[in-house]
Amino acid sequence: MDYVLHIMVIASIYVILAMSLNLIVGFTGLPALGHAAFYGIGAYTSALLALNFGASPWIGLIAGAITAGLLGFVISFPALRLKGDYLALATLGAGVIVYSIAKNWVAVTRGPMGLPGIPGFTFLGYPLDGVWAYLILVLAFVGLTTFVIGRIVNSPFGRILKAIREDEIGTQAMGRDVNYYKVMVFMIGAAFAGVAGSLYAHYITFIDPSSFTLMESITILLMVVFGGLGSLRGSMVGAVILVVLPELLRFLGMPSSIAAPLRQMIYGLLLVLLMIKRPQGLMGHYRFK
Amino acid sequence: MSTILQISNLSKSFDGIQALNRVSLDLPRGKISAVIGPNGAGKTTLFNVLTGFLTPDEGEVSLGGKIIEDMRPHKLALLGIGRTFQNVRLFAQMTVLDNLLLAMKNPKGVSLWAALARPQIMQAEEHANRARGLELLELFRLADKAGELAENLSSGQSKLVEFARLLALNTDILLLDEPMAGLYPEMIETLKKTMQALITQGKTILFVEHNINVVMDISDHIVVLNHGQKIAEGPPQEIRKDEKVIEAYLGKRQDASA
Ligand SMILES: Nc1ncnc2c1ncn2[C@@H]1O[C@H](COP(=O)(O)OP(=O)(O)O)[C@@H](O)[C@H]1O
Ligand SMILES: [Mg+2]
Repeated sequence: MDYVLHIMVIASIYVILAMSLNLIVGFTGLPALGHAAFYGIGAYTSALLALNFGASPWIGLIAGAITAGLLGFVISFPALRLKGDYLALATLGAGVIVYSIAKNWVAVTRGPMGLPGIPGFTFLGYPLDGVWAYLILVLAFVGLTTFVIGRIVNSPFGRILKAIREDEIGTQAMGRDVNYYKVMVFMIGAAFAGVAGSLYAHYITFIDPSSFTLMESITILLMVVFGGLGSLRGSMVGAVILVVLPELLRFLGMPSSIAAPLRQMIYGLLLVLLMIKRPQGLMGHYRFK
Repeated sequence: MSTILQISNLSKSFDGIQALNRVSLDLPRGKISAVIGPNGAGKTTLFNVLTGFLTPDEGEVSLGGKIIEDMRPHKLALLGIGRTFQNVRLFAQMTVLDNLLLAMKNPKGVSLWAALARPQIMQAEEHANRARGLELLELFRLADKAGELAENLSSGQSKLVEFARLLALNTDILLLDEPMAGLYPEMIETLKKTMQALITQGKTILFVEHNINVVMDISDHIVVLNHGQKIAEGPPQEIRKDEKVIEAYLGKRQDASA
């Protein structure tokens, strides 16, 4: 039972990651390949505050959201100058830089040895023991993310984001400062990824750089594309399917040495099938141009 | 006759091609002016410079007597210089009404705070904007397309929606790049009437058009460009007789062929 709940916690964390990336990629149309950087900086900020200063995970979560948001602010600047493939490469580069810092700044992050013993969340003084309690916590943040991002994309503000995705020049001609919206979207999307990172760190209690690689960024992007660009429900479905599906392999008695590479092959295969059958994703309406 | 937009000595070249060559022009306030000239004369380039999408090599633009320092496109739109595009630019995967709503001022609804505390803050504004958007669409008998995705419109309908969107933007100056190209004759009539109605509301229009009958019919003032240079300027009856204009269009003097 705990195993099922555990999968649900992990899936929920990915739902937050996928929805926050969808805001950037799906709704605003900015191809971003470095989401794991925001996820990672949120996780490390929160974990380090708890381990070095005894800070409450709640403080860590807020601090993680802020540092990730600031990183989003920094990364948005190349986004103002670059378009399309170049932007994708620049964000990919940013992701690689954050990963390298986590791996090589051993004095702070302990590098590849990782950070063990990260304390768990407490609620009103009580530790959240048991996976179910964590599931409730994480689901609450899924709710918050859905509420905030949902409101944004369905507002006049969100309409401008979609317009940027459709035609930047046209959006400028409407008197809208495209750069402002791009910066905001990167900051908001990054901040929620930071929250996901904090939730992950205090749940698993151990983090190392291997959780925040380029492959991780690609996995989150796959969830978004799979579920549908510009569809929050799609991001939920995409994240849950791509987390749960590989787990089913284990039930088929697959040893993990085979299951791991098979997982990536299944992702690839699903994506190819989807692009042929339903290029807008399971629940999306929008197509890449 | 007062000048709303003063263009002085604008030049722009693209690797070797002088698309605009020291063009100066006073745009009369509250009038319809036309820019004509053969293909490649620099008409669209002039619009692109005036709306900030291209940076001129030299020259400056003054609005209401003040030099415009910040020529970023969105700033110019907010200052009151709006445009349509020769190749229509709609937000393809959005509805026709959303296309118009994007153009409308929504100081309350556009903030992030309004997005989060949405219903209370922005609803009245959104309602009014929607009603206004439908009204504008109705001018061109397109209100029934309000919920349609822009990409599903015919090219003529797209052109009209883009024009309606510019009306929604509600700028003092409207730059129209070949607004009538590809439209049915009835729609051209509607568009002419709409342009004249805009003038009575105090708007200023500068438009590019190849249909010379339309140009002669509704323009107060005509500017002729050729190879990036202004070769003539004046009221329709003068332009009609201008030797340089006839030469530019026919490639030789009229009397030379006689
Ligand atoms: N973005 C551009 N890059 C290179 N050349 C351009 C560009 N825009 C226009 N030109 C060139 O500048 C000249 C004027 O073009 P344009 O302003 O579009 O003419 P018009 O609208 O009068 O037909 C043409 O020779 C055109 O090829
Ligand atoms: Mg042109």
